[in-house]
Amino acid sequence: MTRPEELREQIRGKILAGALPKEYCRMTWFGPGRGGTCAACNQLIGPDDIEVECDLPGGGVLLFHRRCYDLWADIWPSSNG
Amino acid sequence: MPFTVVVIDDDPQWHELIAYALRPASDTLTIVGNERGGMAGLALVRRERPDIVITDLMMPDLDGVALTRHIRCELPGTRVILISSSIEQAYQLMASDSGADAYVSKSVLFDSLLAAVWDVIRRRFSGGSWPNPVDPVELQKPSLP
Repeated sequence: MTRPEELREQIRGKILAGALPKEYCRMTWFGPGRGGTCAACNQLIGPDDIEVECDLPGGGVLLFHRRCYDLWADIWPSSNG
Repeated sequence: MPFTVVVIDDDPQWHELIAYALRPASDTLTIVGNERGGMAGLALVRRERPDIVITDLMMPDLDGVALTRHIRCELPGTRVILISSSIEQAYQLMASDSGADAYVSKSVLFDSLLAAVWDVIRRRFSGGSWPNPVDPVELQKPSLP
């Protein structure tokens, strides 16, 4: 398990590199994990995890662990670059 | 001033469970009404004009998708969270097209509903300065321009 501060830096780095978007989801889906890969931490989202699916306004879907989603949504509005 | 919430589910047991799930944020979220059907729920929403509607997806008279479409037309500022025990792909497509802001599976409701509520609030007031959504105690309703 990645430490919270490392995860935060990893997500911030992905945002700055353009690997994670800087925009609000059009719709979010909260449910049990279905074995996808988290767009933030690259780890499996298992059935015991809570998955957040983010439908982007321009199309496309991102999957996150709930905690990773919260961090991404918290970080990107204040990320410059 | 707290955010106002209306809960609509044909099974009244879920009214109590949702109230329980939202209780940790009782300083900032107030449930102003519950209804058991989509039509009665729509009347309640028109009357209360809440900030957030939490509604079951499948209900006998007016389902959550149709209800969301009504709310989206009549009260564009109201956020809608759909909840359901199971979701078929056809309903998933309709839910996505309905204009709902979030969907929460009832199987993870206790761990996710509050997070979904903060998420839709954050997006609704995206122009404002918000505290960390994982700390709901600090969340205060901003003044709208």
